[in-house]
Amino acid sequence: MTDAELAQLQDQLLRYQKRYQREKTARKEAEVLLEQRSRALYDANFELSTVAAQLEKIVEWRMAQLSEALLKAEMAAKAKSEFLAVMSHEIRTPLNGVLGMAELLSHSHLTSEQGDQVATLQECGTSLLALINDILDLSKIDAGKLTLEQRPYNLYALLDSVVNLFVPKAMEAGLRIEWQRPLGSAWLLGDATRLRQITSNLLSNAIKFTHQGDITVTVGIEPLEDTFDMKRLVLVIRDTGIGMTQEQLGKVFTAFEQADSTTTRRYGGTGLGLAICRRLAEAMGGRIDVSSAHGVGSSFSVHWVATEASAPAAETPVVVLPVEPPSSSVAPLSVMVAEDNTVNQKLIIKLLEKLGFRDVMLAGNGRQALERVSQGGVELILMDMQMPEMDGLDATRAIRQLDLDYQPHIIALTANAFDEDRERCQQAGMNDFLSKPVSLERLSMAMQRGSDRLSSQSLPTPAGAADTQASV
Amino acid sequence: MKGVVFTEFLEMVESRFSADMVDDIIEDAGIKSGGAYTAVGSYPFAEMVALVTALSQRSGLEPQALIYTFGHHLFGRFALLYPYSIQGCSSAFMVLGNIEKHIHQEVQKLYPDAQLPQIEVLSSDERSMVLLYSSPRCLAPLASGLIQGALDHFGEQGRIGVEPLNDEGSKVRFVVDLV
Repeated sequence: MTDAELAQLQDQLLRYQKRYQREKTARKEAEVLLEQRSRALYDANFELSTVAAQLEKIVEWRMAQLSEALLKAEMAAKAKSEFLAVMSHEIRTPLNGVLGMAELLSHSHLTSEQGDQVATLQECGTSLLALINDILDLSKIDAGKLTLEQRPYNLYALLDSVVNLFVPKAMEAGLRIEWQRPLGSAWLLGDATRLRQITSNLLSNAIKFTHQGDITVTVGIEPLEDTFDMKRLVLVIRDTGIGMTQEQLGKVFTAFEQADSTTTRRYGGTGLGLAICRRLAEAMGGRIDVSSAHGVGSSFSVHWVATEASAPAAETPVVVLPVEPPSSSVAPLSVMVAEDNTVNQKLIIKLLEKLGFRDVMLAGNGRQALERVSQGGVELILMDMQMPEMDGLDATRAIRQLDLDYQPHIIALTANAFDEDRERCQQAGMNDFLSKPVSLERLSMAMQRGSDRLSSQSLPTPAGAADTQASV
Repeated sequence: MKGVVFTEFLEMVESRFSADMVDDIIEDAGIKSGGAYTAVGSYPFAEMVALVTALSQRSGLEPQALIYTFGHHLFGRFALLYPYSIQGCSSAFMVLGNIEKHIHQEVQKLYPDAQLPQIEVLSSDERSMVLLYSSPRCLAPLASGLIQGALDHFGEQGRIGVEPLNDEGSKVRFVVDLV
């Protein structure tokens, strides 16, 4: 081997050594990097799982907070609706006394000045009652507690009765109501009470804000496209009254707003009526539109859709009973009043006396009523709902369980005005329902109904379950 | 600069020249790492500059030409090493159009600290594509080689026009016309 070859070989060896060293260094560096990456990955994973655990805790805590808040909200809502029910009762009870006594007073011998004063008293009381009803209605709707009935009613007959109700008021104001009634009948499914409320409100407003001219009521029915039995309805109430400006139109359906503040002074009212009407129409799946020209008049139209109903087998005409003088056939009934409030006791007994009922029995609570009824001989009971010791509902249920020769006719007499209360009374076995404040007229009618029912059963009859199902 | 660029560069030198050439340029460059590169590491960009300069001196080839050749080599290697980067692409234009929103995203997953050039598509139709290259490293010839590599990969013929937009070459417009 020459020196040159040896030198080349040495150079080659050196190169290989260097390459080997380079590769080794690179591998080691790669290993270090791999370890660093693994550690970083581990740390990141650990951090993630810690964060996840923390998050879970936070979510758990939030959930607990939320469900607590929900519970609180539900309790508050419940408390609010209970408060409403109690207030409703508490306000109506004394008002009942005021209105009842005023009515009694109006039937007594008064000078014409005193007569005027009593009439004013009655008017004020009545408008206060209307206001309370409106506020209760609005809060009920806002609380989502409004449930609409789906029962058949005859739209034309309903409008007949509402219009008839307002004719005297219109005539008094020198106005004419033109009700363009279509012929025949129009049976629909829906909530007649609420529709009556809307119509009454619009008519009442039309009369209030019109000084001369007419109020026109029209109704249109047409089939809804692509349906079998659905109808599109529009009820229009048009007046020739003071009308509204564009700005006034904008807020006319807002609660507690009236067209303007001077309206409040000149025309009175709370501004709740139209807000309620609008909410009711919306609850019916419809709407109320208004068009108006200042100084020319306004036109309110209610649009909704309803299912056609078949007419009941025998169409019972709507009969508006006149105030009847106490009929002698009613008087012999043995009547009991179950009522804890002394003012109301006094009032109802006075009213009954006016109707010819003497020797009315009195029970201060449900237990006393039950005890007296169990001795027999009670034919008709006017039963307050809320009483100490035993309330009217429990008392009624207990009375219905009694083995009597005949079951008494029980009329709920209560300041609780909600539909649910009416239902609860019916379920407890009561036959009729009178909400306070009760007028002589409504009491007379209820007594007449009780008397008719009792005589149709040719007393005494054995008490039967079916007996309690009678007309409420 | 990512280690994979260094390892690929040395591989190219070894295959195009010789293993001795690799030893020599590492020696000549006098670099701190001693050329012991690992693909997953990161090394100073200056070492790449020194290596290219050394190769240029040893081979007598222009640095720009060497970088271009490296770019061309690199595309083939990337296509082999990271086939998912060009999955679903059926032409060079599709790959070029995907660099920013797809390929660079994939690179960031592996190397969150990678400093990548921006390749913006200025316009594109079936026959022609205009790209804007922006990078402080001024490696437009590398990009040019990569584009040629992409064309060759899909068996396409094209002309690559290079228009530097500034003196240092940090912004360069490429006009690629298929022929």
